Parts: sequence; C-alpha cells; structure tokens
Amino acid sequence: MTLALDLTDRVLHSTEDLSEFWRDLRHNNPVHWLDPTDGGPGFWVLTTYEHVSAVYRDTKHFTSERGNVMDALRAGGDSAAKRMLSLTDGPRHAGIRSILMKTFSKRGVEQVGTRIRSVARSLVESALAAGECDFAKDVAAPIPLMAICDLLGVPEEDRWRIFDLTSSMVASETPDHTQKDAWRNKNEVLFYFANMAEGRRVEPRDDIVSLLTAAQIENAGLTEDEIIFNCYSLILGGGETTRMSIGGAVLALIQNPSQWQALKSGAVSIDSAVEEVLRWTTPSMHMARTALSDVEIGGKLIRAGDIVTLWNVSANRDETVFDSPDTFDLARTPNKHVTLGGGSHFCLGAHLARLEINAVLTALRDMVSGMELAGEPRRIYSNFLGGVCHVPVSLR
Amino acid sequence: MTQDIERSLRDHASVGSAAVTVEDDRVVAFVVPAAESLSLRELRTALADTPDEFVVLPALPLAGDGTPDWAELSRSRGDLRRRRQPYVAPRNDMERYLAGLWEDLLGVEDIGADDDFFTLGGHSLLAVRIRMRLQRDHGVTVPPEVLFENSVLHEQAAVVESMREA
Repeated sequence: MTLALDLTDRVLHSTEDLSEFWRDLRHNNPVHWLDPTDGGPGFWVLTTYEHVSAVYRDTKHFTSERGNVMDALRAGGDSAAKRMLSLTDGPRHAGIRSILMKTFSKRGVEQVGTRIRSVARSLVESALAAGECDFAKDVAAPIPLMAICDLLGVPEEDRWRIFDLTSSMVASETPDHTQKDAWRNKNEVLFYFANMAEGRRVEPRDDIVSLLTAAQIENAGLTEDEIIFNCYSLILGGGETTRMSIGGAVLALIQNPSQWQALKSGAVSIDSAVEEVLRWTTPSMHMARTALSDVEIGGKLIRAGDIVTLWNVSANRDETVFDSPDTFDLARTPNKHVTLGGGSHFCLGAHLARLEINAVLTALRDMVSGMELAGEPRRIYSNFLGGVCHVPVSLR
Repeated sequence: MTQDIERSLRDHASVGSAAVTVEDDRVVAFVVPAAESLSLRELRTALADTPDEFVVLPALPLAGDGTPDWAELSRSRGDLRRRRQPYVAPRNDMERYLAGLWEDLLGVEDIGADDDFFTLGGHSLLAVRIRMRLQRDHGVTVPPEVLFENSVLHEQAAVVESMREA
C-alpha cells in the first residue's frame, strides 16, 4: 500500500476504491502532510473520527473564513469568503444562520414535506410503470432539485437549466471537465441569482431569496454579495448532496439484499435507515479548514495558516467508532456519522436532507417488491463530492 | 499632510479604516472599504487634499502594538504595482466605459487598455456585476466564458462592442 496517492486528483476518487488507503492512514499516519504532485500548496490530511470531529468543533484554532474545500484553499482562498454562511464565523455567521433556520428547521422544512413525499411516490410509480429507469437521474435528481427550488423560489421552467449548471460546478459526469467549464457554470448560477434578487427587492414573494433581500441584522440589510453567494450555496448544497445519497441508497440496497429485506419487512425503521444511508454514502467526501494558530493534533504540530482537510469518507468508516464499518447495516446504532459535518457549521439542510431520503425510502418500502441492477452504475468525478450519477435499475 | 488626509479619509462614510504614508516621494493612502464596494473616483472628489495613489485592501495589517504594519502595507503596494500593465489610455467609448466599471469593482485607479481583470483581483461575482451592468447599460447579455477568455480590457471591449452591434 502506497501513501503516494494524490487526493487532489478528481478522477482518483471516482475510479479507485480508497478504503485500504484510508485504513492505512487511520492506523499509521492519522495526521498526514500531503504534498500534491502539481507542486501547489500542501495540506494536512485528517482521517480518524476523533480528529475530524474535534476540528469541526474547534473554532478557536480553525477557521472556515478562507474557504472550506481543498481546491479553493489551495488556490489562495475562496472568493466567497466571509460572504457565504459556510465561510463566515462568529456573530455574523450566527445572525445569518438564524434567518435561514426559519426555513430549514425541522418544522420549517415541513412546508415542502407533503410535496416531497407525493413527488417521491409518483416518481417511483413512473419507474415501476416503465419497468426500468436510471434511479439517479429519474428519482434521486428531481426530488432535492424540486425541494430547494421551491424554497428558493426558482420557477419550474428554469429548474433543469439550473440543475445542469450546478451538477457541473464542483463535479462532473466526465473526467475531462475543465476549470473553465466549472467557472462558466458557477458564473451563470451567480448571475441567475443576482438577477432574481434584484427582482425580489421590487416584488418580494414567499421564498428564501425574498427572505434574504428583506433580512436585517443589527439594523442593516445583507449585502448583495451575501445574498447571491448564499443562494449559490443553498442550490449547490441542497441539490447536489442529497442526490448522491438517494442514488447511493438504492445501489446499496440492491447490493445488500438482506438490508432491503429488513427495510421491506419493517424490521428496521426508516429513520434508522436514513442515518445509515447518510453514513454509507457521505456525499461531501471532505471539508477543509485553515489553522488560526499553531496547534498540536495527534502528536503533529499544525502551523498557523496551514490547510487542514477533514476526510468524512474515512471518519465514517473508522473501526474504533463503528463496528464492522464496511458493512451496510440499516439498524446500526449509535450512528453518529460526520456526513453532515459538526460544530457551528453543521449542515443547515440536515432536516431537509433527512426528509428527502426518508420520502424515497418510504416510497420504495411501500411500493416496490424487488429491485435489480440493469446496467453499470457510474460515479461523478470530483475531489470534493462523491457518489453516483447513473444507477440503471429494474423495479417491480 | 499625510495625517490630514488620513483623518479626512477616516471621516468618510465609505471608508472603514485608512493609513497614509509617503513612499518613493508619493503620498500613498491604504484604505479598507466600509461596505462591499468603494468608488475611488467619488472618494477623490470628496477629499480636500488627495493622495497620489490609493491601495484598497480587505483589512489593514497591524503590527504587534496595534499601529499599521508599514512593511506589510508596502508589500501590498508592490504586489499591486506588479500586477499592473504599463498604462495605455483607453481609446474608445467602450474601453472607457469598461475601465470606469473595473475601477469601481476592483478598487484600482487608472485602469489601462492592457490591464487584466483576473490579475487585478477580478473573480466570479465581480464578473457577474460586469455582466449585469452590460445588460442594463448596453442591452447585451454577455456569456461568462466571453469574460473569462477576454480578460484584458481592450479585448473585452472589442468583443462586447461586436456583440452589441450584432
């Protein structure tokens, strides 16, 4: 087993099974300094559950304000720094988060709950009628897209265009996607929300964009940058991640027939199954922070300014926390995975994600008697998001 | 003189903090905007005494005793100068229009025809602002890749002009 794998490589995560690599790091080098082959800035690679969850909670020594993913930090910092909720710390973060929590609280997301459940049922019904479908494309993609667009106020006719753009901003379905393509798509999405925010200022509606344009923190409105970057963040966080979890859930259920039976028979609850799906799929493979001052972790000295990457995919398979971590076990308890992060930046959309996955698992349990793969599943290419974009299945 | 300018800068609503010094016989004002954008053109008009040059920064670097870190500020000025191209005055209406727009968005004065948007700190959201202004002021919807591929001012002006005529 070599430690020379370059984690910045976006194709690597899609084509290779890295389980052995992560296990080796967790056991032999849990706080590992990596110098990528491109000659750019190196960074720390943290792989154990203990270290990853500790850094999430430690806002004294680690900041999100320069960026929270490897690529942006290595490029010198994120241009949305301090203007996007996830890239803001301290009182400003608390202020904006509390505005958005009205929509994303457990009670808040129920405003789209009925619709999500009914759409999940009708999509599964169509898939059953057709006999075969691409579950990732036909069921996993439209549900989170519909939910986040309903909440943001993006009209029906624009949604699939937005989907095409957002699904190729931080990941892609082809290995030869360029930086320019990503920049272009990101710019179109920002432009879209800049125009939308301008419209909502004049004519507010009952949606998040209007909520953000009208919001006040300490008697001042949010800046234009904050509004646009937060919409960008919500459409990406809301649309892309749960799509990976839902597609991955179906694949895992097909590959583990006993778990499908347990779900079908009611031997495990949907709530418990949702948590294992989240742990198993871990769509945000890593998150990143910057050290604010010198700090020691696992006997290694991390210097102020160092980039620290937190590998959720590895922490969620840490054998010191999860029994038989490489077993897909819907009844797993406790199941305190780090899929949704931790600390003050814990995923804003956690309730929405759980609601969406719950709706799909419920529809499968209630309506489907058997599932088989009908083709080769395909994964997206990215060093940040991981999961499947194509899962051909036959349902009956 | 530098202190007077520093005081009047600090009193201005659009300035968050400021430090003024003399470097290479030039009065240099380092300013941190109070809000997300700062028009140096408007600032210049509002001041009684003006510096020879401005350097806009996201935050003022401080030394241990809380005073401005002049060495770090000098490095920021050097860095900005290295990113500039030798000045070539904008030559037509579209170049002058874009130069003014870039100056406001980037917080840099005297944008020339050979300056590069990304080298001077342009990023995705600033590119969005250019696109929104072009839509409003010139009625053209410029695709993002056009700005990405034509990041030098005179190239950008030429391609926007050709789209406007088409």
